[in-house]
Amino acid sequence: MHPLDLAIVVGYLLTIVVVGFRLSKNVHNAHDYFLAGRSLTWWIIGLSIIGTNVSANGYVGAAGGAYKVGIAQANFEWIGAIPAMILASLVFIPLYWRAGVYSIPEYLGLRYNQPVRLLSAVIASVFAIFAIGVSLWAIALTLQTYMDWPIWVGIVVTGTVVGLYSISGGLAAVAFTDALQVIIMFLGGVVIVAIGISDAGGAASFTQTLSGENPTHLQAFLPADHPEFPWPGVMLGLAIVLSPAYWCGSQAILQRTLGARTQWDASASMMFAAFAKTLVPLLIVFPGLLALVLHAQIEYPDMALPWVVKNVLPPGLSGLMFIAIIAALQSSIDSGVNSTALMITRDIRGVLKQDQDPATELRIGRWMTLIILLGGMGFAPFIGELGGIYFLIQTLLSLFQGPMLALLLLGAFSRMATPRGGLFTLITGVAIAGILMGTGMNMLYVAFLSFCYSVLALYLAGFWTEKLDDESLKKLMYRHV
Amino acid sequence: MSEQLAALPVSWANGLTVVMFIAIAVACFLIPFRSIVADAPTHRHWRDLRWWALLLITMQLGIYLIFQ
Repeated sequence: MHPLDLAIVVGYLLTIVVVGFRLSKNVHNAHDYFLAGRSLTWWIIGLSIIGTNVSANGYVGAAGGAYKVGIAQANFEWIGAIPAMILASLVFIPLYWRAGVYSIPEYLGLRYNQPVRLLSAVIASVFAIFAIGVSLWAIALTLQTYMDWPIWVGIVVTGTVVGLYSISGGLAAVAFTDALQVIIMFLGGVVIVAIGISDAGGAASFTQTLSGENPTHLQAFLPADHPEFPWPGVMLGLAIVLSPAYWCGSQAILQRTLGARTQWDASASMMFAAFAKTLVPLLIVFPGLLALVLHAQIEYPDMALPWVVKNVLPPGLSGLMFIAIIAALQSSIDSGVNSTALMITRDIRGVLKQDQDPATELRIGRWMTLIILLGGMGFAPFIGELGGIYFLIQTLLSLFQGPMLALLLLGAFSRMATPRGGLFTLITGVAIAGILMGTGMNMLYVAFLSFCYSVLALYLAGFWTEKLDDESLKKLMYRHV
Repeated sequence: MSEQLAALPVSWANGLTVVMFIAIAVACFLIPFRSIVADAPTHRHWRDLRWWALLLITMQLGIYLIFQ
């Protein structure tokens, strides 16, 4: 590694650890630890949302996807995000914020019942630990490509750094370091686009080479019979189900909005994040296309981004880009760890033990953060054997996103959503999604069909099961916001 | 279901995307201004998130028109 790159890497790591420790002085109870004492401003939250999301979607995996299918990969950032982010900003965030909850499972517990809260928290926590493992593996893969570190060394170093600031500083540390990480990420992205286009002989030459050798790589939508991303699946499964379920129901994403200083800051943060999200393909999709144009010799698509960093950028700038990748993935891990610790502490342990003492929750929350991080580190080395990062995450998500979205939407807009109906729908909806997945159906269609089933089941159950009274629904439905 | 959908032409996708975004833009303006800026420190027009949404949607329409 070039000494300049090394200096940038070390400087970055020291900075985020110091920022995390400084913010830990403001943490006195669970409210400070999990919601930053409701002090965060809109642009910090917005940047943090992007930091959490970019990595969750897979910085490395998305570049690999773009290498395989082209600009259609960016649908996950455009139609597969923006409409849902607008919905979250204008409808769901005000709803959660006024309900005064710490988490989405807590909202579901108020709107439905405690078993729904418990079950949704367990499902989300299991997925989150898995996602943390995936992100750790992705970082380790990058470190191996770039610095020749063994996978396990990369996992241990990353886990230690993230643990140092997220255990001590809680959500405030996570949000501020995320914001810093996203700024670095965008700087790195802009540099890689500029140098990449220059190396390819200019923008016209870049597009000509790309579309000449790969005719569909500059088309936003792929044919309806495409095996992975058929356009009807993208519209029905991604835009209508997976994306709203994620942006309106992901604890890791929404937790920082619940830590906003006002409801307007919470809503504006998501809208601001949507502007940044529109530009994210430049950072995570473009490198995949660039690897293709420059005829990179790589074993599998997920190597596209590390290849570009190693072979296209000069010393100093490659260190910056390397940090950008690590920063993106770290911000996913820290957010996942913090939000999962919250769900286990309050929505699982709190419900089972009927204990909501803020001082105890702070202590348990910090221990949970450590345990979850160690769990992800233990799981990470095995991810490589399971296939492409991005596809893996999306496949698992589609199993419970349909039922979860049905609960959120009907919960917000219809009195027909009842406590018992909610529990029944969540259990049977996930089961049906699993069965459909077992038939070999495309995951996007699985998500759409399980959502349709769940909406129908939840609505019909309202005819036979007891509804919540108007007083209870006052702060839990959109018409009252 | 997959078989029937597989026969749909790809040119429909961009058209449906445009319709979807226009519908969202209209829906945004059904939300009253006062509920958007309810607890904002000031009620200046730049805080009206419906216009933020409209700008976002315009950017999306541009993107999907370029990458047809």
